[in-house]
Amino acid sequence: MKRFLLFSILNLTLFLNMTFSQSNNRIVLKSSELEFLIIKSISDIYTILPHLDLYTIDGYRHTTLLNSLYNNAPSDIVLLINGTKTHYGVWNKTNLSQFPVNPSAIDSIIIYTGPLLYNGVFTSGVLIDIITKVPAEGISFNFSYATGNETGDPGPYRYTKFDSENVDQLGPYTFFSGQYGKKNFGLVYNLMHHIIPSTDMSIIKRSPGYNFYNHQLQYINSSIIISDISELGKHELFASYSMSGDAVLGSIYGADLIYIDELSRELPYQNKNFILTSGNLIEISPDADLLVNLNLNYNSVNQSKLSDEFQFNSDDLWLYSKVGYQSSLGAINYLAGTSFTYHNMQNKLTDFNYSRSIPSVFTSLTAESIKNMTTRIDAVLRFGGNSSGMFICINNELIINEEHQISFSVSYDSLFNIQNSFGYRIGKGYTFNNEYSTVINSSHSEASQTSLNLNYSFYPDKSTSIAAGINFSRYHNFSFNLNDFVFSPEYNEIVNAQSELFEGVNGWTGEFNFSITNKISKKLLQKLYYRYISAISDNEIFEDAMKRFPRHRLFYSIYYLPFSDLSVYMTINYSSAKEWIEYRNITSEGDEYYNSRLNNLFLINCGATKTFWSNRIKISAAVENLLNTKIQHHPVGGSFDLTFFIKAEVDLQSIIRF
Amino acid sequence: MKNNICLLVFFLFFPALVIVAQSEDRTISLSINAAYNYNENEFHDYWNSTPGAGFELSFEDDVGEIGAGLRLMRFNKIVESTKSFYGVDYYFLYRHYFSIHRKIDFVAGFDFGIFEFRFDDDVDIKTLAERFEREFAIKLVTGMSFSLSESWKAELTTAYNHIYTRKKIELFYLSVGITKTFSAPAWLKELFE
Repeated sequence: MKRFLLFSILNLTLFLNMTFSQSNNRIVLKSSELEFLIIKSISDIYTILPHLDLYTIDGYRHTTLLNSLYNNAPSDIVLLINGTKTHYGVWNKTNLSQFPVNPSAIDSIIIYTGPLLYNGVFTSGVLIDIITKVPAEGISFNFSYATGNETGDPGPYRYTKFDSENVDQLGPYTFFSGQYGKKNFGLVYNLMHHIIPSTDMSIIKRSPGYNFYNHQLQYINSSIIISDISELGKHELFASYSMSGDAVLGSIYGADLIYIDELSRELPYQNKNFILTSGNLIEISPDADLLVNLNLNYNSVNQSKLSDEFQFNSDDLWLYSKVGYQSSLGAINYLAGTSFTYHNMQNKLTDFNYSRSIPSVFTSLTAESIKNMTTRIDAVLRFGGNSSGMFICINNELIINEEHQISFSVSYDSLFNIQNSFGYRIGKGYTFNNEYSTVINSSHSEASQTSLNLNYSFYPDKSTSIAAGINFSRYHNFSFNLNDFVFSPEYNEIVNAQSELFEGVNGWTGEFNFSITNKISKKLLQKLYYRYISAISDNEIFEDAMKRFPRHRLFYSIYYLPFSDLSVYMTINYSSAKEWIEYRNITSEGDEYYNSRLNNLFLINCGATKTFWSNRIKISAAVENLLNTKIQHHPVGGSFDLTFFIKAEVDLQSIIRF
Repeated sequence: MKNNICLLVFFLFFPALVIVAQSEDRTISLSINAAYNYNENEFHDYWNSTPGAGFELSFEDDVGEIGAGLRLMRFNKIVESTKSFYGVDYYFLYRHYFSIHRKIDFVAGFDFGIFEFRFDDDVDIKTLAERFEREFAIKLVTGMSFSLSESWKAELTTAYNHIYTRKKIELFYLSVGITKTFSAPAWLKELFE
């Protein structure tokens, strides 16, 4: 009974501490919030992040809308683990679903929308830093298994005139984690395995050269995290090896897929990836620290055995180091440092071998400029051919009193994420054994962006926070490929009927956002978020290109803890219609799969988690798309029906103590 | 759409349903039941059902009765071109009992799980994949429970079953059953802490 009370208090405390931390472009998701959701893979956090503009073709792989929009301004997701950059991803696509960390081992996730500098790491897109938990003392184990089923099978109607295509189950997602912890030291071993079928008809219909049926993706990863706190400082090591496509368990072979925006088609591949990162915070003196981060990432992408359309190999090696010094100079706190990135690309089939070195210097200065006002200046300079550029941001935060806060920031950058797209490789001489090598226009003209942000936060009481903000961004000298993708019934694939490169695309966007977080009671929390965004420009191409961003987005979530061993949640997501100009002619008569205009999205998800045996066993169930409306995030992407998920987790903390 | 709204309302009210506290004595209930499908819709132009049988195992928890069940029911084809099948319903269950008399309770709850269609009567089914179809299904359940003795109960319930096939299947059942209640062993009580 005593233990039960202890766990009840712990649960309640976690719930009360759950905050929706958001300032300007920063969101922090704490484990106490994540525990409400049915996290099958880390990308499930996107379902509660309406602040991010992403698209997905298959529900498993996500990309930022900005990343594929302008070909001289790559802006995908930059992933960090415990503050260290990982260069995780295949080419310019980062699949958070496969990021090698067990969701139950996550303490918090810090999300920023760029452009910004975060501890010396720059991103023009989205930055996600995954902070892992410190292992409990002794030896602990965690095992979880999650699976789902998209509704819409034909059932017994298979043998009637109402026959329809089969839909598959999603997953299973299996995780195992073994942990050892003692004072100031932690060792975590993670093993994860995914099985993902790709049987949506929108993908199958345009992929005649690849048989998806019965060839689910298999993904397996093994990783370790070692953390140590010594007199020198804090040290962390993360090492991971993963394989996708080639079966390790069982005999079913399936390919991983990457969606090539420039071609509007999937490329089946198999992948081997090795990551080694080391993050170190070394105390030089009581008020001075040295940050030393290292990353090695080797990524080998090969042609799938199931497709001979593309014969290719692509091996990427990334070496990254960052050294920063943080201290204070009078009233000014500063972080200054340098980073160095080395990238080597090879195609062993064609002797293609290209290397580049990208050094940069950065600084962040923070000081109380006037009473109650903190000024922060971030700057970074990057060198290295097409990747060179600069970023500067001045941010002021004024605390008027306990209830009112105002922040204002202005930033300018001619810097974007490091080019690593399919088109970039082609531009550097990378070739495939077919005509696709020659169809991509690419531009490397220098683009720039200027942003103005004004945010106001109001805390009427301890349980409520209200925030409102406006943002204006100026896009200058962007390059846009105006493709004309159409479906060819003759070849059963999407072809680009015409491509025209527009350079010097300029324009403004204006955004207004508003959010409320309210703890109705100790057991009930609700959040509301609204955003309006619009292009302000007389440039027709810019205006048309920006129509893929929904003008209105409304998000509501409610979390309820009726008992210490039961939690329930519901999210409601609304987005207004979207249009993709390069797919303006994709819709054909009688075609239910491809749509140039994506109608309003109205999505309701809900779920519940029941715990047993003093929180050691958790059983969760969730329903996505409760109203079973047609949900589509991309003109040629899959549509998602009502889907049911179930997850079982066994969490044995400190079962052996020393 | 109407059904979707009903489902939404149910989920909205679900938390309110579970906040009523239960007694601290944990019990296990084992029940067997017979079910009859009594509605008629387009599904019944292709198949008719025979009475089915099932069993349920549930545990008393703070939130109400939670457990799992299985029901088997045969559906015979009416149209020659289609196939007969056994409907095997595997589900998790939740029940809440509201006392309206010393010996009578009002029962409300829901089930969710997988409804499996096992085609059985045709020689042209060659592979395992052709023999089975599975789909997510939910049931909303309501009825009455009558106490026969300290540990025996009789139940009369009706249920709405929604099977989420592409062409949705909606079945209504009338079910009678008998339930035996046991006191939970210590290890099970600990499990539910």
